Amino acid sequence: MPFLVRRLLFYAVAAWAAITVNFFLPRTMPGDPATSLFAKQAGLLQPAQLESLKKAYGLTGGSMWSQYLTYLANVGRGRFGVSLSQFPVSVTTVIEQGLVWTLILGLAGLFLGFAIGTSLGALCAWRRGGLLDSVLPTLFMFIGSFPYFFLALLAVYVLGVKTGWFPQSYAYEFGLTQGWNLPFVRSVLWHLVLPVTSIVLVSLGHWLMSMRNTMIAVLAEDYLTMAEAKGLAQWQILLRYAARNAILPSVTALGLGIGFIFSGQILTEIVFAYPGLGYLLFQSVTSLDYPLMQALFLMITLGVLLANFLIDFVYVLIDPRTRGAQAQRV
Amino acid sequence: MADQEIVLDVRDLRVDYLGERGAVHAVDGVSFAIHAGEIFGLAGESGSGKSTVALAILRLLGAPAVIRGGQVLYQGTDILELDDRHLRHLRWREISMVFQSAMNALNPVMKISAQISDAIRRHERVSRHEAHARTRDLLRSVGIDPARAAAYPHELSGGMRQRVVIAIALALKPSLIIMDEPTTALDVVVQREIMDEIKALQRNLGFAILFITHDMSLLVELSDRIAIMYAGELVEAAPAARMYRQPAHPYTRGLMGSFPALTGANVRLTGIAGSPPDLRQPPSGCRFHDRCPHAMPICIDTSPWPIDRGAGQTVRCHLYDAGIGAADAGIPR
Repeated sequence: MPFLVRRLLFYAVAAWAAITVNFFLPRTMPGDPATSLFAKQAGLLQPAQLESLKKAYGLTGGSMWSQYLTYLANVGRGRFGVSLSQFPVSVTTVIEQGLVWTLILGLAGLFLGFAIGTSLGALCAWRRGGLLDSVLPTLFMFIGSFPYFFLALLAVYVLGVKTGWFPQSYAYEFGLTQGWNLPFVRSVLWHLVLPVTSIVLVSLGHWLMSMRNTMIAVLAEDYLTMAEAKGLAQWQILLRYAARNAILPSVTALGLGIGFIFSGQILTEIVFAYPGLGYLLFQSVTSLDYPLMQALFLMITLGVLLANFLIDFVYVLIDPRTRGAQAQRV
Repeated sequence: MADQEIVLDVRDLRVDYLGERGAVHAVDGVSFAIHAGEIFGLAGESGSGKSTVALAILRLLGAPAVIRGGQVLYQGTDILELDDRHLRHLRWREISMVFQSAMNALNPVMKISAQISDAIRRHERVSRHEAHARTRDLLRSVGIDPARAAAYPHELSGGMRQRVVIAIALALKPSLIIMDEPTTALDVVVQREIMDEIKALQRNLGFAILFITHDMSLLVELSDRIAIMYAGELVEAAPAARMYRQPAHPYTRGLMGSFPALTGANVRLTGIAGSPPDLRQPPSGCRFHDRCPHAMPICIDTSPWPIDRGAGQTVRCHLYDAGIGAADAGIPR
């Protein structure tokens, strides 16, 4: 069986397991979580909301088995019931809105951090002991060791409030027409500067050190001495021989990073009031919006799985050894 | 052989490894010359400095190693004096190298064809197409099906990988190829095949080889001339046949595993007792004296000088010193 097909099967099974756990977990609690929640919030929830709660938990009547099938069908069609806090908007709609912003912010921060950190790490290793190498690793490890919220709040205070150079919160300016028009896009980019910078700053040290250390090990390999002996140009040796091999672990980390975009930037989104999934999760927890919470948890799990799958795919592209070897092993 | 043109002339080469507890004099005043088209063997045990010599010739030594002195003359120009541009120009085109471990000498993420053609295209102005054609020819010449040009190193066996490395070394038709234990990592059968391959290629193409190994039997069979290194110094050099029949230096005899019973009594010697000295503080006098079965008082304080034994044999040992040595008394010839 081809490698990718096998991986795909694995992820399908993992996703099914996650969904199933998501279904059965509430049922291991005594009683019916929806009804008890309804009782706890006596008078605050309307009967229609109870219905959506039950639907979210798959408590749709009938046997456990038929409930489970109904739940699976609902998940398959992307029906997670109605949000309690933003009643009567469906959970799917709420998540869709948040997802876009999370992806924009998360991917921008992750890839910028990866690109800058990895390049700097490669240069540090290449000129080991040089000026760059004696300053950058220490500097960025220092910055990275700050509590994130402190750094983020500092950025908001100095660059947002005090100087007013950058907007302090939200993803775009209100009153603009959403869509592919210049003022809106510009506003979105402008609003991205602070949160993205904060993410990049704290993650840079990690990317830099990981690349630098792997590359120092790679630089000691025989094939690098051979490349040198071949009289190749420095850039050829640096890119095709050294960095190309040293980047493999960082790519794995990048993949995992994509998975954690869905859950990992809750702090960023809260500090900058950025309307992504993390902010939604925060809100759903504080307002006890169970259907939304449950759907978000499922999203986060599936996000990690999806990212892992993507990385398997990319890894096969960049590391030829995974093509043959893994196929033979299984 | 002796009146042939000299390709590489190494003179008084000195290399130190700098460490916290002092410099290690890994190569300490080594001199030898390699003639065009000859196979020159350099032997010695691990840590004797033979690989360091190989790397120093192309200035491939990394950080803690420093070339302290000497000259490496390639057709008259001192490689140690070249600027970066000329050095890169000379590397591989004039002198190429086959590395110790075939397993690690190839870049795991590049197709082997790309690793051959990047060397070709770096040094010669040829089209991609032509480089590709030459790559296929080179693979064929080392006995690899050209259809495997698109393979990655991990898809090849150890022996095939070493063939690929040899093909890369041949790519620019250099006049000298440095081979640093090219078959050590391979099993005996494959080793034999590769050695035959190397000999055949050398006969056809006429390049010179600096062959480095600890395997004396291999060297005796392969080389025209052999030099023996011990603790950073050359202790003996001679034509292969002479080295085999009449090894002079006690260390060489130990390497050959052919120490004769000197008195005819039951003297059983297995190899060489003791271990190589710490090169941070090399022993005084002859560096071999504390392991030498023939050591004399002079060996402890006076370093021996090269003594010409005739027939191209040179040895650094007081035993052969007229007036001092006990050579005529104890050691045959």
